[in-house]
Amino acid sequence: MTRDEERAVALTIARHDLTTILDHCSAAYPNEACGILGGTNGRVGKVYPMRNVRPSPVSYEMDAAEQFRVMKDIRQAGLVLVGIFHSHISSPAYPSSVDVEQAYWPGTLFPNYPEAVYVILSLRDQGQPVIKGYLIRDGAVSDVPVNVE
Amino acid sequence: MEFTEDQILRYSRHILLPEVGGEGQEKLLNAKVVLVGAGGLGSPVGYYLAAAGVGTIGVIDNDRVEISNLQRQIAHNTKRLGVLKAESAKETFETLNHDVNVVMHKERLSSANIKGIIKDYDIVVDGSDNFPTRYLVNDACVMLKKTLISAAVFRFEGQVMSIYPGQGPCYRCLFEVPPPAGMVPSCQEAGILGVVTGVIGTLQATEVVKAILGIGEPLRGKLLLWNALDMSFRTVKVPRNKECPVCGEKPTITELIDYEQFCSMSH
Repeated sequence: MTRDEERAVALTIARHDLTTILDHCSAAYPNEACGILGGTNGRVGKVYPMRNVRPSPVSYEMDAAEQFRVMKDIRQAGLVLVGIFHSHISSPAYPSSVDVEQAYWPGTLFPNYPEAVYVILSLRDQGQPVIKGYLIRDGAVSDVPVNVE
Repeated sequence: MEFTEDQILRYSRHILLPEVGGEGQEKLLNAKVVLVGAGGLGSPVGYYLAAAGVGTIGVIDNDRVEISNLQRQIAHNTKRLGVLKAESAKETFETLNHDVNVVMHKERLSSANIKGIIKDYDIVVDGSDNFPTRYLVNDACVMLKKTLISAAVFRFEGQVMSIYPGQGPCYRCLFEVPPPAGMVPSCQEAGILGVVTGVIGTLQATEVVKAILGIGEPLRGKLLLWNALDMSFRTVKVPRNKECPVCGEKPTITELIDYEQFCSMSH
């Protein structure tokens, strides 16, 4: 299987998992929140709400030790990393320039998590949260539909 | 120029190519190329340029050969542990081809010495392993209008871009400033599959030879990405950035900058 075929064409998420993401992001408001999505074949199997170690309304950073623990848990559950989510407080659900920059190893276009869908939840209108998915690859951002079941 | 009988034999497979011929071989013998670093990338670049008969090869490196280098830095060998890489590379390349003169620059590049070193060369090949050097080399090449063949490798991946100042984008058009120190994850843990440097280095050497001969399409305005695991090549178009701080319409960087050394990926 080539990398193209492995690329997610869509990300499917159960309604209760979406609620977990929403609750985590709402709790951190007015700062950004972040987390990891484990799953298989573009389907989310487990949501890992993560601590934002640099709480701010415009950025997030995961705790490295927590990240290692989560990645281990994902492996042991027979899942893979299918997505990375974070919230935007006052901007639309679209990757910022920093989001794009951080998707690559510095100074290169080598993706840090080639298999991951970047999921962004915009809380610009708190009454109407917007969730969208993206691939950040080869210097470009492309849409990935997020289907809620 | 008159080729000796040995030279006609040595370069016969080049001379047979209509795109190269005797004329092209003469260009190669008269060319002056400088390698920034004689490590994972500089080794294969220098090896193939020496084999091709590039007459003058400069080697900028002030490190010594360590055993952990030998998994990928093929210009050196076990007998040369502790020897300066510039000396080791000179020995290797000149042994391969006596037509080649390797000029050693056993110093660390800085804003103070870079222009003086690269001004005498036609083409600069960046095989450096750190951001301060990569940006310094890019800026100096833009300022002196030197063709630069830039590359980077990491784990199972590599990228190559040819920079023709004034005719296409530079490294800063794509990555405007070096990443802040805190953004670079633990560099000592950054592994590299040895052969990746060989593939990317020979791609750089290919771009050098094409540039000298003036044939084909260079990777100008294009970044080539290669992934060893799925054997995929991808080319990403890179536009010139009008607001590039060094090669844009109103450059704000007019003097070379010595960025603080915060990371050596030790390629």
